[in-house]
Amino acid sequence: MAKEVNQSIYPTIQLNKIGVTPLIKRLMISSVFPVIIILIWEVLSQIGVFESYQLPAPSAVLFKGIALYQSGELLPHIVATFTRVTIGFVFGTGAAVILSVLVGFWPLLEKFIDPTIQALRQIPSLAWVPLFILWMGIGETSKVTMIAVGVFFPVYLNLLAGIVTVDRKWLEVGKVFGLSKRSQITKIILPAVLPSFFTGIRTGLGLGFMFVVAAELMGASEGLGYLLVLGQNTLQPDTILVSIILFAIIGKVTDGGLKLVEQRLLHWQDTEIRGRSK
Amino acid sequence: MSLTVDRLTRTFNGMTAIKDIDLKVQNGEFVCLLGKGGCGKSTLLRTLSGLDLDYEGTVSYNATPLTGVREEIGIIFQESRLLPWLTVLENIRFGLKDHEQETLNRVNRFIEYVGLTGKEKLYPKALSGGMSQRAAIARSLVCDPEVLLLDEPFSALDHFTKLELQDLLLKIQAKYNTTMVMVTHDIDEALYLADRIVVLSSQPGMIKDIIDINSPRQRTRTSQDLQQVKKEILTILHV
Repeated sequence: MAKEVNQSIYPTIQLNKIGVTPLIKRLMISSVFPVIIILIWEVLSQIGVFESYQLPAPSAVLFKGIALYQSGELLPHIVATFTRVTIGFVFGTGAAVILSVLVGFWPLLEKFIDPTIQALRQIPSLAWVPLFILWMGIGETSKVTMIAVGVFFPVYLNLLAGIVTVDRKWLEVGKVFGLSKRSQITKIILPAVLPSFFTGIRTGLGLGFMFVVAAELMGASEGLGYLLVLGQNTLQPDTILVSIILFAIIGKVTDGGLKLVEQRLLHWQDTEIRGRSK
Repeated sequence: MSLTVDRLTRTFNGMTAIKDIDLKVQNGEFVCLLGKGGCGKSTLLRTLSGLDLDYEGTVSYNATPLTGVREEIGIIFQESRLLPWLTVLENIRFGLKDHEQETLNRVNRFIEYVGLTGKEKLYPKALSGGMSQRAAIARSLVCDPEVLLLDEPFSALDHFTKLELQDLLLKIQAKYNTTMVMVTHDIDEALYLADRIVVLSSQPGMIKDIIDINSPRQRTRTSQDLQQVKKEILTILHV
């Protein structure tokens, strides 16, 4: 059934007839648009519509990337950025999980702490930057802390919302079958909040990348954010674009990884994902 | 087993949902609580289950006041309330404390009994409404309840599935002598299943009449006797 529907939506694309898996088919369809954009960009650059000192051609960006990689400069930058995000993400998520669980299960604590957290949330996280630098210097600690702050809020908010809105109907099932408080948590609340948790960490990871750029812009000697500053100071837009594109790729890949874990763990959810057979 | 309700009144924010209910459910009896929507019949059932303790009056199980949910009292809700992250098998053995072979055999027997063989590994999202409700019934039965409380369990199902599941309930009752208390707004359902029909008035819910159905089991849904009782009930309800 699903296949027929698919074919009627995309009548001209019948790739599965030549033995293409659905994943590859999806990748091919989704890359049509960016490929067209890049081609137009390349052509416009070649005929001189864009000045190369402002917007270099895609091919020039690609060669720049290869050159940076071959000189051995690129990999340390990627590793530095990735490491910062990972550490910040782990700490931010950890703190958010602990706090949201405490606040979620202790109504008194919710009244006591949650309003403060909600108020702190209103501060644009970047506003913390000067303070963190003042406290922790310009080294790794302040950068990782910033990223952790960025990751913390979406995870905390989503997880807490998940915990306090667990469907009463399910909790009653636990009650009817005489579950202990602990079993209520492990057998009902935890699985029930898993979807909100994943929404939280995926948003959090996105913000983590946003904050690593901010952290590296304000002062770093390596990292993709540093590459942005370097490109700006040395008037090399190709370097900037290499960095931007790498951010896009790394962000997409890491989010894809989380999404994969999410789908594995939440396969029981009754949600129809459009264009994909179950 | 005996379940006794004495002068039970339940108010929500000053609104009286049910008032002065007196009821005694006998062992092995099938009682239907019948009334229009909003007459407090579900409220009454929740107090019987021990899920709702904020009432005036007394609810006693085997002559001791009910202080919370009890193993001996199972409840089936209008929706199956299967946990979506567990398979049919895991859902059905949800209420069991041990996972020993004997218990598992018991689980399998009930899966077969309610007609879910072959569906054990499915997740609730893959089940039809009728199958979900079968799983919910099995989930209660494996815990060996003495009383099964049913809150409009079939009201969301299509007519034919509903008839099948009504027969399943009768089969269960005949085999295990389970006492059943069922809330319903479907007169035909009550006539087919009940030994006794408790007719409730609306706002506040009070017992208007209690009708004994003396017609033997294996009833014919369209029999003259039952139609006569139906007329009676409709008159009581002023429809």
